[in-house]
Amino acid sequence: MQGKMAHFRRYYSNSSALSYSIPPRTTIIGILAGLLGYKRDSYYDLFALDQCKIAMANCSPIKKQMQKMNLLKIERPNEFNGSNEYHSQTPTELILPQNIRTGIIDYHIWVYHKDPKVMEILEQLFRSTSYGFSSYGISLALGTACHLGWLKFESEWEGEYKNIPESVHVESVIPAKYVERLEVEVDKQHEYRLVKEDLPLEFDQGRRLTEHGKGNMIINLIPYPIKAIVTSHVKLNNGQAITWME
Amino acid sequence: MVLTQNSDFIFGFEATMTNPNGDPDQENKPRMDYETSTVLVSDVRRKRDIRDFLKQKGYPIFVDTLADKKVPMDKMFETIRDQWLEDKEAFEKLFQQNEELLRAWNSLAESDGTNYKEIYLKLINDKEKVRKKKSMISDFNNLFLTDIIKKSLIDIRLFGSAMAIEGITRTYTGPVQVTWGYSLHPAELVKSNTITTIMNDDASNFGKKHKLYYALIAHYGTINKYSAKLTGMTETDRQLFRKSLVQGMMSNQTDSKQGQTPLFYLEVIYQPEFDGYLGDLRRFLTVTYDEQKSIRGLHDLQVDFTQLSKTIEEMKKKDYIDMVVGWVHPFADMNHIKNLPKYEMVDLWAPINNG
Repeated sequence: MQGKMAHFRRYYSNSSALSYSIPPRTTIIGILAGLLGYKRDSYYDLFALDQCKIAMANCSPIKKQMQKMNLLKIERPNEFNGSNEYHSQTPTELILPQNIRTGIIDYHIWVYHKDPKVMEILEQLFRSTSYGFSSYGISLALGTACHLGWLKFESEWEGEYKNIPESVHVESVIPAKYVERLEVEVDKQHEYRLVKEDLPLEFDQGRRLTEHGKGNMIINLIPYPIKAIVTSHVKLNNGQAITWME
Repeated sequence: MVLTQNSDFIFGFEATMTNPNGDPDQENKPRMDYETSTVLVSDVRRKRDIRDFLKQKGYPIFVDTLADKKVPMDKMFETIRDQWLEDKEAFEKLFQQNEELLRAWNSLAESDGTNYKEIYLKLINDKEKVRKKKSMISDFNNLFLTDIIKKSLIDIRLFGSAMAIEGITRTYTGPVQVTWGYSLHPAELVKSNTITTIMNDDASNFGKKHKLYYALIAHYGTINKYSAKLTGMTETDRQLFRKSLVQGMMSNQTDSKQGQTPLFYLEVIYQPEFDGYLGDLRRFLTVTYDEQKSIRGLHDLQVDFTQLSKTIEEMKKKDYIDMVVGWVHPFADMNHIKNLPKYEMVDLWAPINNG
């Protein structure tokens, strides 16, 4: 998933609109469901944690920048049309590539769904054009609707669960609960700018986080795999190791 | 007719000695990414210009922030409701288009008369009847308001909105989405800041006014046929959108916005059967300039569309594209805008009908 600008609202921020560094799992399932043409709030069960597995990696250096937005102040439904006398000036954190003119934001996403039918439709959708992407619903956006982006389909791989502690180079972000030890190597091949973010993973029907609906993820902000001993990962048949966001 | 085709568009404009979009938190300096000297312009800036322009042309606008008209949403809906109830022909046309609405009305109305407003108001002002027919009234209002609001308010059809009808909040995502714009090259702030003076009888204000020397800024956007179905955006709306994008900028002549000139608009319209998008068209542009020289005009740049043109040709071969429409400023120096894709000219300076 690529684009020029992104904003993934930290759900607990109100007076200022902060952004996660990567799209949370809930954002990704929203995008997938939207591309498939599902209506708002109608797909949380279909893409629940036990149904659908998602891993993701940040594959291009990003930076964050604050811009103050002069937004409508809406304190009650009657003010959706901007009838409140005051505006709300909200500092908004944007995600940008290092250089927006020449660079792009680039997130790699791995998707697995238990239901073969869903996998089939997704694949059909992804493979239907090699120019840009297809959608049976939404225009693809990186978080907020105005931050339009596009998709590039990479490939399909088989994977094998490895549920014993093992030292691997993990391509994706890693749930902190799977990390036994980070084995940071400082050399030319491996650069790290690690952050830990507590990301939403799953909603219930009322858009409330479920019991396991939130998790700490270790993210490398620069595009290199993270070497770590992890207690669970998926080994793909292209040799790469990933961990599901769960 | 409601839109049946997706499209991608790119809109470029020149900003000369102007402030295309100030950041209120930075002394209203132009929004910029200072690390790369790139000017940024928000999507809402574009939408505001369009709304203001359409309002000037007499179109009722939902998101209206001008101080002279702060009408709460329910009052606004009431006015629209009354307009439709008073217009017998328009109201009956709604019935033809929406059987469900006709059924809801029939279960509600207590006479066969055609003075719809009278029948309706008599009913909802009768406390006893309102109590008895509560759910029927609510059903009718729901269907009726959702339908006529979209028909009456062009900015909802284009950009969507959140609104509340009968206490239920609904969100319509706009078929038209516009990204933040960015300058296609590094830009410079004017070094001396003009001092603005506002003098009243007994007080005066002094402040800084920040401007750019020059920037060629481009926004990318999409129009989505699936969202269009939900908001009722029509082919005519698409034409209105294009013209208001260009003319709205031209008619915004406030002090800080003087010096903004639309330069080009290109829209790739896909075949009705094609469900895709190319995505951000700006990634297909190549812009070159002399790194040692300050950029003060289009003459200091080369904007090359070759890659976009090639991609469009490839897609045309596969029959994904119905057509490309475009507009370039009639006096633009075409020595600096090269290899545009083939397009069908649309005159975006042509006047629009009053709403």
